[in-house]
Amino acid sequence: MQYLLHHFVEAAAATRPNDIAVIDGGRSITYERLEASANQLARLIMELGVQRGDRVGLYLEKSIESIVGIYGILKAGAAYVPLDPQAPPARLAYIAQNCGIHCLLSGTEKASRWVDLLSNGAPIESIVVLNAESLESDAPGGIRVLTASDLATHDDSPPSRPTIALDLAYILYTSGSTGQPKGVKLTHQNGIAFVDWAVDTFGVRPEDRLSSHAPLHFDLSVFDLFAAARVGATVVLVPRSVSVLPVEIARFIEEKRISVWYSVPSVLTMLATRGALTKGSLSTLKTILFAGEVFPTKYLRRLMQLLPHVRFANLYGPTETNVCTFYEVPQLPEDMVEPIPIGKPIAGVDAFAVTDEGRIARRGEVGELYVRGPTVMQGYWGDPERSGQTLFPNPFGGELSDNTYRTGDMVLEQEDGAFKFLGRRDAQIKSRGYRIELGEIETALYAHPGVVECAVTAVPDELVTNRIKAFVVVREGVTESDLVRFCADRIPRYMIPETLELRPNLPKTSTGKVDRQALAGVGAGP
Amino acid sequence: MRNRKTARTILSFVRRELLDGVAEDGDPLADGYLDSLAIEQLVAFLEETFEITVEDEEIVDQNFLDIETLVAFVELKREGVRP
Repeated sequence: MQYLLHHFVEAAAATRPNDIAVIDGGRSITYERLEASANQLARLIMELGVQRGDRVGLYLEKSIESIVGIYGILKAGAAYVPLDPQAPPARLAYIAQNCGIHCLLSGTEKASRWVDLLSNGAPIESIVVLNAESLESDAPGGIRVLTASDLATHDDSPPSRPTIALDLAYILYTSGSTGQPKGVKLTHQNGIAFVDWAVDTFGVRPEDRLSSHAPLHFDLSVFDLFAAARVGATVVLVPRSVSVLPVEIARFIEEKRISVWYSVPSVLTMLATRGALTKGSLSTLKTILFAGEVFPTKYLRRLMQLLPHVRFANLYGPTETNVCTFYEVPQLPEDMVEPIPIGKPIAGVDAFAVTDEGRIARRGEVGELYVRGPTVMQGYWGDPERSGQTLFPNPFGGELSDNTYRTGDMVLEQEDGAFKFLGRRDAQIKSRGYRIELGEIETALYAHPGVVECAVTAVPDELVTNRIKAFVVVREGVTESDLVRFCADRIPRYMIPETLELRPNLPKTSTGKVDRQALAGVGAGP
Repeated sequence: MRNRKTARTILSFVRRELLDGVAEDGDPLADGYLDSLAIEQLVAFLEETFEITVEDEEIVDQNFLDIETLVAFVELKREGVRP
């Protein structure tokens, strides 16, 4: 039996040592090598002082080395914290401070940013460079820097650590409405409950080749990496240059003989419209899974018509629940325009809608989706207050007081038992599959001394779900590009407003609040 | 030099319109700053500005790897050569 996520690799290394675990461009690594390297890395970081329960940061481009990093961290009994390689250092430093990252696994491509992390207050004491034998530049003062050459001297058998399934395996930071990202705490059990369900439901097999499109700090990567390892299949990393060019994606799937693809819908929309696909293309592909945002029905239908041999499923779930419901997409009628449902709860997970009056919604009645079960997170790192607002003992549980997560998503249960997603309860939006709190963008803007007042709104868009538009009242002399540059140092690029409108004032409601509806009207106008 | 002018035109569009001035230096294509939607917008811009038609099959790494390859591609298209 496999009780912990890294047991997947241990088992695969024992039963199919020479099978390929990861393909990264022209390079690959077998399960035997992956296991050995991860063991050496675990022993090295344990020597550096990493204790069971510690958080270790991952700050490098997705690569074989970053996958070795993940398993090395887990084997050391610690939790991995993937840092977005493209995010501003100030945001990453906040994350490092927030969950106390003292040891960082990194790569040479990020070496020039270490100083920025440290000067922004990241409490890092040691850095292990996974993709180089030696370091070209000087290490920042006071930091111990090791490289891949230090790994080789370590024993490659699994270190013994008393890790249990309820220990943290990873922390994923998502946008927070108060202006700082929040760390979703997930255990080995959380990950395994989802992965085992996905492997069973989609029949993932050792001969499969799974794509890895999503970045590691995005929870879609949990499926790619661990479902592949669970059965000893191969995960093929999608290079960043490929991932933005639809024809290259099609070619990649064809050439790498990908059988299971998982990504946000916007990538698949591009594939459907500009992928130069013909009916029956991508013959090796068996399954396409998508999650993170609504898939425009007309493009989904087009893709399904082009790829009639492929099984399509919509996976739904905020990072806090991994995945909690899914919908296997049937043939879609030609005239259907409304979005497909988010579906029914995955096996072993309960999801139900709760009305504003606080009772369980009847079929056909609108309510907020609550989720309980083994995929539900353990709360936000270091923030019991915010954790308590969305994660609490099941109010309908009676004697059972297991934790229930309140998603903030408004849903309705259809006649067939599948849930339909209706919208958000708050100011959280999706854009290109990214989850964004509009409040976090407003906080970033307000930090600029020249900003008097601002409101950030989402303008619905068919291709990317939402585009972000900001209305800003500024002091004299502040320009739009000043504000954009200011934001770029604080929030990831996908959160920077696409349009910034400078206005003399903002419309107000009778209670004196910013009239967001009036602004939304402006945003939607010609 | 027509190539240099083409490069300037493309770069200023990418930096100003697609990246909102986020990446002021370097090669925004090679550095991976453009997502699939930005590529879409870039193609529309190239088609309009240089009066060329870009086929889906041409939106590939070979032509969009960096600014230099993109400029070469655009110039070939302008001369009516199918690269």
